[in-house]
Amino acid sequence: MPLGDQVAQFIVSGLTTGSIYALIALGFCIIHNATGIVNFTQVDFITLGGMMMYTFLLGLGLPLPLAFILGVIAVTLVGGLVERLAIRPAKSRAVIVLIFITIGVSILMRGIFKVIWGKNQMALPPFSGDTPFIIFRAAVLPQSVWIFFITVAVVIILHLFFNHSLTGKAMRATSFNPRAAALMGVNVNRMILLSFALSGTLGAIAGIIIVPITTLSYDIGVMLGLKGFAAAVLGGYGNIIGAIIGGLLLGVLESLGAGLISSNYKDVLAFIILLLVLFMKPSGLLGFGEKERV
Amino acid sequence: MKDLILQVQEVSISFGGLMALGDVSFDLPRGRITALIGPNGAGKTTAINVISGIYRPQKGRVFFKGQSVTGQRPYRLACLGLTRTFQNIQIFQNMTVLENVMVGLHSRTQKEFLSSLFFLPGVRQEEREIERKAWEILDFFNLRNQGPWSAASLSYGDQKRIEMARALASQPDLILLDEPVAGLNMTETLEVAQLIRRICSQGVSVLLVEHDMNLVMKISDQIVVLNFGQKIAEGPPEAIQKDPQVLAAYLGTEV
Amino acid sequence: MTWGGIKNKSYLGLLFLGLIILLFPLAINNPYYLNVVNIIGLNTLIVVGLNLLIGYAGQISLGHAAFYGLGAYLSGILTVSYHFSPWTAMGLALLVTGLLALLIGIPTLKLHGHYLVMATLGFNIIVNIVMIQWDQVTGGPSGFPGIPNLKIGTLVFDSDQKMYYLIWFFTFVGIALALNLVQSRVGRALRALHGSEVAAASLGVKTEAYKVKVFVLSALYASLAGSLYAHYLTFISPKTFDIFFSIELVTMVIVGGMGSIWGTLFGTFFITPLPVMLHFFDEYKDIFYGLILVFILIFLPEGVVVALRNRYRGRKRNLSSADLQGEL
Repeated sequence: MPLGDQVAQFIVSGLTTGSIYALIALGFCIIHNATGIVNFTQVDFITLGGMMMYTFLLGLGLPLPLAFILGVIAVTLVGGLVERLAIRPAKSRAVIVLIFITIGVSILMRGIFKVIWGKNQMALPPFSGDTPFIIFRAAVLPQSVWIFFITVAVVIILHLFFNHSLTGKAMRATSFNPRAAALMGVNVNRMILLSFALSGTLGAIAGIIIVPITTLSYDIGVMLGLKGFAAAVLGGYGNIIGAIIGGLLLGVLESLGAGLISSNYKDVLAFIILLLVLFMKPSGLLGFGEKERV
Repeated sequence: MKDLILQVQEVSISFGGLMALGDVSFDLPRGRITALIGPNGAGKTTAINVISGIYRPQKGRVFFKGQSVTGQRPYRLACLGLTRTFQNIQIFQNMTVLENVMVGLHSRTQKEFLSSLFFLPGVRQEEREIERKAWEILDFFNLRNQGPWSAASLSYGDQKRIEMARALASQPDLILLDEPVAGLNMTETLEVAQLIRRICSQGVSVLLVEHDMNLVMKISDQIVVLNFGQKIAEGPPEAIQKDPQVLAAYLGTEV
Repeated sequence: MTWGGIKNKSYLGLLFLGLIILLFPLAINNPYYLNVVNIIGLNTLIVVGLNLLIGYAGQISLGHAAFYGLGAYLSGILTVSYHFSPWTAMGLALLVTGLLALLIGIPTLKLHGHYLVMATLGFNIIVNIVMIQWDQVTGGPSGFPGIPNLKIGTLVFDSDQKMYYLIWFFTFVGIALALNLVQSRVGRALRALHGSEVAAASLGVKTEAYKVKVFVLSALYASLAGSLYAHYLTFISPKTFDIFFSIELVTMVIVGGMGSIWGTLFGTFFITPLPVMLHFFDEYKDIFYGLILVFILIFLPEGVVVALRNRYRGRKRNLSSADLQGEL
């Protein structure tokens, strides 16, 4: 295959995984904006989405769209549950303690997944078959097309939500200045709950649409989730648009790196990029620097 | 030529398009109490932060004891003899009162990682010295009894005094006091005023940022007035009290 | 509580610990239990160093398994593939790990909060992947076997019992040194850094240098433990040195109580045997582990030992002290 075609192939598959990273990055972003913490359970929302889909689709034999919707709703509820049961009751509101609580919950959730669904790898069928199309000389899986369109739909819905709905604007207000938002009548606690639920939604969608390509296991979300975080940092942590750009960019870079340089060390690339961004410009591509005022 | 402990020359600094200080220049005479005043947002704390090395000015220079120290890091300045207190108290909540003051002596002592790790000779002696000097300073500030207490358990007023004690422990030539009586009642304010006078009489120069005009007028040898990031007046208290620009800045002009 | 007073109490504690260490194998000779206690010893060595970074200096690292692994792999590779003597290899491993910690530490410790967390996490992942992928050198995912035991003269440390004394000797020394550091001017400076970085700097503490130095020191502790591990088990694999072990290490620090050296002993004694004790519940191990972590963090965020100590002393040490304020 001539180099140009190869590169086109890599870019296409890179955009596919990049879309997933973008969705995950958005999940991290939203919680960070609302609470200032990194929510490690994000990685398990991804896995849970896939697991739920498995149970609804293959276990209960429900039709695909129904299984999809139920799966997303289920994980959204779990997201809210995590906030209510583990974050809200915490005595210390220090960022680092809360982060570690999410780490603990993450371990707990993976433990539960292992018990319910076992440790083995499982497979989910793609939404509409696996014969690739040829677009611009690159072979594109039908699942990739689904991923792309669903991601675009999610981004549009999020945009409408944050910019044109009262709740969405309230969430944005909370992220800029919780005290002022509270004075304006925004229920900050509910916004935090909502942010966790929303990150559950995003994680679930990401998991459901990628698992037909990557296979499913109790810890599939970990690597994806961590790379999603790297993408969020790359784009500018806390910046919604940055999350999307970071995700797509990371996906493409990773794919090109794996294809052109080395596929063994493919996973390393995302984290090298993470470190480089953190060391050189922690605010990422689109973020602003922060100055501490004493 | 007066003996100047600090010279600020044409210092300018902006934050994201907002000019916090514009071409500010003033001098601090050695061994005196100078006050830096101005309405809220005038740039007083920014000026202190520039002098103490937290911010680097985009333009201008700062000289300490004749040496250029523009943009030098805070710890370097501490070793040179410049230290400060903070507007929002920054005492070490996780340590006792005594330990807080002992940290103040850090810049005057030496034992580093390796000696401390292996408890080499000299470490014990230095520690004894540090502790002894810290008790002395607590005595000066009348805080001896509170020495073993957790710093976090003290009253607001006492915490402010700990911060001063700690800063003084570093044997500074110039101490910057950032709103030392904010939130204190009349009695406490008088005590602090006396403390500042005593500190100055020991040869330490003082730069005082304050809103309490009584205090400022009573103890300052000279006053520098800022407004909107610019210096609008500099001189002895009597002159400042009558300066029309200063009055306008604080009270507004007649329409 | 004067400095002199603290020092004496610590010497007493060390003496007590030393006695227990010497006498323990006379009571418990079972190699299985000794093995667990040995692993506890290694974990304690790492966690004492890590606690200096987390509990005292107020930083965080979710990547210390990487330094543990570097110590182990460097010792293994240098002795097996390059025929260095184990002690020389250990020294070289310390050197290399220390240098790497310095190189990584300088840019990393400029970060705060979750950026710092993720940078250390990212570092761990990179090192772990290299362990897995560079199989010509490291043996890959199936591990690296055949590592020789340590020996002094004709004495070969090839049994659980003999390694017990060696491991706990190093751990004892590690604790003693850490106590020295913590009760010194440097230890105070580290705690000051934790309490208020800007105030500490204004008093002459070279905050950036200190952060890096304590990071390197904690990496050295981990590297030493790693080398001992390699020569003890004679076989190492990448799975031991992943981010989940880094999380376990920090859990031990948290459970024991950040900023308490004796607390770390509690933390390691409590957490290390859990997977072993819960072996029957292998299925449910993670669930228990996660629940414990979450409960302690929600209700006793200052750590078990520190919480007990505060209750016992009755003195009101402010909870929201800089131990916990997101001032990382």
